[in-house]
Amino acid sequence: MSEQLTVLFEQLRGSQPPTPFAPPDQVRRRGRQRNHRQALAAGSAVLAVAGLGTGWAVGAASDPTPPPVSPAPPQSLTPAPSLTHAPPTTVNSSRLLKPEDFAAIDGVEPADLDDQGPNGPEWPWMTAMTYCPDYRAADYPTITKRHDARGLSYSKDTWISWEIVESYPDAVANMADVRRAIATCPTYQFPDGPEIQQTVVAEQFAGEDSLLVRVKRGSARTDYMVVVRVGALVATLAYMDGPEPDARAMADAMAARLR
Amino acid sequence: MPETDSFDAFYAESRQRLFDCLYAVTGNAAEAQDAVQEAFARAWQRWSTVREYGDPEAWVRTVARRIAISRWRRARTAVLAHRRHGPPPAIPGPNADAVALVAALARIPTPQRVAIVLHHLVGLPVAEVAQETGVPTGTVKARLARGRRALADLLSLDPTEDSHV
Repeated sequence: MSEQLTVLFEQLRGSQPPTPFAPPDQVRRRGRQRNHRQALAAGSAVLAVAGLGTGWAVGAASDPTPPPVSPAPPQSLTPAPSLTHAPPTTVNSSRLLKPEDFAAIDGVEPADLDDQGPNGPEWPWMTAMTYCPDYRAADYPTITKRHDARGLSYSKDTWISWEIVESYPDAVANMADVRRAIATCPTYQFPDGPEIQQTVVAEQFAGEDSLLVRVKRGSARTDYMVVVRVGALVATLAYMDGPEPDARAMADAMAARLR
Repeated sequence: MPETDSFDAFYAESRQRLFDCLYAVTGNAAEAQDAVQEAFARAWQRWSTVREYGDPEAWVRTVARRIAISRWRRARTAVLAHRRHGPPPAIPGPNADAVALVAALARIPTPQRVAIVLHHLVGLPVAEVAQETGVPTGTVKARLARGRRALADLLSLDPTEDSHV
């Protein structure tokens, strides 16, 4: 049978793509445009923040060095009511993790998230909810009220992770929606995929509120979702393949970027 | 060799193999082509680093598979479209067997499909499939065995013929 398959696969080789392969200069241009878009995104965040006059300190768009991270103030486990109903907050690029924040992985490279919709990346729990039979959109009222969102993926060789930072008029309520989503859908399954189990393994260990969620994908892999809220901002990091202490340690870096 | 020349040569030499692999993994020629093009664009972004890797093609292949998987992850709309319109049409192929093989691959679980494609189409030994997919070799062998059994059923192959990994 193995040989029969090999013969079949031979016939698959050389399949014609729907359109001719792009010439190499077009591929290189696409790569340069990716660089340009990333720089532009950083620049537009600066302009947006300046226009709103929020006073956040961000780096200049032309400066490739990451903005300095303010020393994190002492962590408070008590939510700060004055910040949770803050005016709509634009998420600028300085709120996202930088490669140097990944203390356990050297040489992480950031890149745009794939397939963002017109309103930016989707709610980080939407994929799980899509395949959860008990999901009812009406049970998660904050999702449609999101003000802004921005995300990046991070990779090193075959390892990949992503972070999405969102701002909500009521971020405390959004954290309640996240907890409700996990409680409602502790297990789900992609079509033809393994059963996925998600379990909250730690709470309130960083920022003004936080969650560490273990995501077991069958018996093959265990990933972690790290959720941190500071004021109106909620950051969600999908940290692939663990280990748990490394994933948990990311929460402090996330909180520092949000402050 | 200047960077543009080495990249262009790498692109010309490996793009068809990578398209074949992604087409077999995704079952969708347009999706495969776009994932491969995007992966090459990312390779060019950091070509000075990627070109120094022992196997730059493996890097692009892994990135392309991740792009495709990332799209599946966010593919609720596509799932709904699939339900509305049926599966995407197969590309016009010179060979009905190849089309049938892609259709059969689309019906087996993704981990088995990836293992089968990397082993039988790309030609990677089991140990390299394990390295590229991040699972133990025993898991790869099990996926290959289960995937081959499933394909045998779907393609009416002879399951009793000796198979090895």
